[in-house]
Amino acid sequence: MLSRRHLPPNEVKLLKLVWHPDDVDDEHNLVKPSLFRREELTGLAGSFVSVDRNDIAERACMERTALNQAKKANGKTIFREFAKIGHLGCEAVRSSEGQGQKLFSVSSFPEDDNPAHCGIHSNSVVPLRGSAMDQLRNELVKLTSPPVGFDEAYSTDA
Amino acid sequence: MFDFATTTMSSAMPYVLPLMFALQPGASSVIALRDAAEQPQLDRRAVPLFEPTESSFHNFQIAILQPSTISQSSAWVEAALEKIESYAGLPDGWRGEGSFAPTEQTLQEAAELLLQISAEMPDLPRPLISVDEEGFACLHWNTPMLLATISVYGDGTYSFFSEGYGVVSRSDNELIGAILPQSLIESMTGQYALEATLAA
Repeated sequence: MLSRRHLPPNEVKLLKLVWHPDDVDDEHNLVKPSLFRREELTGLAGSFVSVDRNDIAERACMERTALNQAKKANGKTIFREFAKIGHLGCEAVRSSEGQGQKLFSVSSFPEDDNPAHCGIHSNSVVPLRGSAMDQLRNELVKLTSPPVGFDEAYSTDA
Repeated sequence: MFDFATTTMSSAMPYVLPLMFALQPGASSVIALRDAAEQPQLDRRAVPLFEPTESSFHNFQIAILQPSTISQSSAWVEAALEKIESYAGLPDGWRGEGSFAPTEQTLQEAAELLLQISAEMPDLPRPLISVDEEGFACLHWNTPMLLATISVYGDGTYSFFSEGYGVVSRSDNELIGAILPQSLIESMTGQYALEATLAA
């Protein structure tokens, strides 16, 4: 059971790192469902969408994560040309409903080098796939702001 | 009474369906069964005009991009097909550790479904197209009136979740090449609801 200290407050924004250009539509600057990996939304224990709470997130940590992710993509470093940040309201994520059920919960997973680390969990008690997965991704896309560059994200939040 | 679905499909069928069937041997029997079982009110049983043949995705796109075909469907089709084709030939790991490249079959099926949707719902806005880490293709619409995600799995099936025009529609294991579910069309266009209102 998570204690209250593990639950980020509703007021915070959750920062979702967008490190691959293909996850954003160029014309409308909207994120695509592929931003949210299926394996992160199955509802299985330990699966969650990695985000960072904006009130304590450090830019250097976000940049380091983006760089590491990009390096894993066949050795190509995409970060310098891309890497953006989208926002999701913590309360909006928790309030999102489908078939009368809350779809998501949000918990903190602080790490030694990233105390802002949080996870968005699917509340499903059975592993999800197919249209159920499409629904969750629909919801998260809807809740994610148009992504902005690091400079804009941190100047806004400062 | 005006039948939107029949009218739009009939204008596009001579162009679209032969190419779709050429890519999917044996699809005709599947379509006939689904048409009879699920949507008997619409007489849209498809009859293949060509014998099934093998075709690559590249040939498929070249064939489908003839000007006469484009004029029958949405203006964004050409760009959308090019986007799908841009994913061809990617290596595994293209999105990071553990990610899978889409198969040619997945891309081909995504193109087929895209063409069918554009022919049947020509007024839809351009979809956002992506391939996820599992190698599945996604067609996505995000507008003030419509939020829809369709996942194409490359095994002949797709799933969708669509919210639009006051209608929520979802389904799993829909067959590529079969008639589009009425509820999907309704949620993406509001068309059947409009027809019902007019009929009343």
